[in-house]
Amino acid sequence: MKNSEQHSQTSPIWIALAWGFVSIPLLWGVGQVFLKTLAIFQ
Amino acid sequence: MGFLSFLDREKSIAKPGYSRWLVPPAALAIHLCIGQIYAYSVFNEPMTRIVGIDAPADGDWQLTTLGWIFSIALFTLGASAALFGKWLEKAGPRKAMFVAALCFAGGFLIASFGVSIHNIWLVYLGHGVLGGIGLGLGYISPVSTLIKWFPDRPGLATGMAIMGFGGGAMVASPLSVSLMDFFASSTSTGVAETFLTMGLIYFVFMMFGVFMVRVPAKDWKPENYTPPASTNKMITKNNVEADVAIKTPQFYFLFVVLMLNVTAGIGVLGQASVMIQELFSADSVGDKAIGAAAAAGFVGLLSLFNMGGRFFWSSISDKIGRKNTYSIFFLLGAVLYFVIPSLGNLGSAVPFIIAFCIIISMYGGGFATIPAYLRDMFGTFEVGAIHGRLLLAWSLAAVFGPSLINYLRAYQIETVGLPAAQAYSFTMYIMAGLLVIGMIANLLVKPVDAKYHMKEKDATASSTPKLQTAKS
Repeated sequence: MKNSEQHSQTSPIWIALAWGFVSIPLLWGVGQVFLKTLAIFQ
Repeated sequence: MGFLSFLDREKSIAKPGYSRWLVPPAALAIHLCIGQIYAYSVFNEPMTRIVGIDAPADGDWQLTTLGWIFSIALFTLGASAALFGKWLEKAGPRKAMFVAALCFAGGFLIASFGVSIHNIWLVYLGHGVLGGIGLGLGYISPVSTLIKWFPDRPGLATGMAIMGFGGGAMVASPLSVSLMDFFASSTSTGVAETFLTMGLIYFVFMMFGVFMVRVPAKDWKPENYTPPASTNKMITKNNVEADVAIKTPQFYFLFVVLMLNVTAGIGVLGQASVMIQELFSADSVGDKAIGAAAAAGFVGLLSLFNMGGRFFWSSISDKIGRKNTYSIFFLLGAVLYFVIPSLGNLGSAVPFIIAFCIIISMYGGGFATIPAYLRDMFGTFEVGAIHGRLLLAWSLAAVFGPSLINYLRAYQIETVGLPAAQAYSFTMYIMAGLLVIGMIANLLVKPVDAKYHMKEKDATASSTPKLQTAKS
């Protein structure tokens, strides 16, 4: 038996939640800046 | 003292089955917060009218007084990363990130108190010194940890974290403005209340990173990963201690590489808004003139490329090598800086904007690629401590770079008598020259002499207890 099978694996849901927690503010900030950049094309 | 022991390195060693993909969010949680320092300028104007509220009054702080906050913070960042890097390697990332959270968030609270009683020294202490220590520890600890978790893709890993530092300013700027608007009243600019609120928000967010971060067990490697058999001399399989690394020429060549890459980028970032408006004014291009709103959009676009470049270039460096990546930065950067004055004279802003976006992406890429370059040269053993010492190059460039650019520009206009638009050409040529020097320093980087390598038993004695393979 593989060693890794003897232990509980990290749930993909935890990984998704962790990424979501940090991605939401980052995407919000990027979105704010992106909206500002549209002024270049006006 | 259960919580304090929870912070120990031994308690943060990942158990088998722990996914390494939980570590980048932990790193991002820290870097997204400390990246706030690049958005500090949004507080400058409101902080000049703490007494007068609606407009500056007698006794209010001057902009030059406030400018020192950023300089002190950046200087302390470099100094603390250099001083505490070795401690970080021993104490582990969880303890270091906790101290970083205390210092960074605590700095906001002290600065809030300083603003409320109108004492600039407390603001210097809070945001400058304490915040700077939080920046230094917070910057290097997740990076060092990620390098150990991603031996197969160190550039991609550090790019993810350092991209967060670039993104932090994008989050902090609108957040700060919204909070100041919310707290502003007839008796307050809202700055003190905003500092207090942001300190609490950042502490909670950084604690997420503290709880999530793990270090890999000794001898851990990703599933299905076997270190490449081919011997690439530019990627060492040995380790060099931090105290020894600073005695090698490679450290100083990389110091020059980072410092000049940063200086060249800062030259653009600091002047971007004014520069594009002056080069494309109504007098020179008529209807196609760039106004203040479009210039702000240009600055925003540069921020996006600064952030994206961190991830893009550091990921590319895993494929083409760090030395080649920096060679592209310096060669392409020098060419672009050299042709930018001509692009400005074409009358169209588009090629000008594209050129600067590429330059700024390489500025960000330089920050994100340097930890992996250090790992290639000196091994993973004390890469955090070595990275910390190298960040003094960033501090020097950040503190003195803008002054150099401003001095050169003032000299061209006031002493030589050039029009403002033409003065930029001279600055661009200086930047191109700096990048050529950086290119030479990069070409001089060779593998570290074997006499500097640690003996295997030393590395084993100083490393973490042995556990089994975890899931990648």
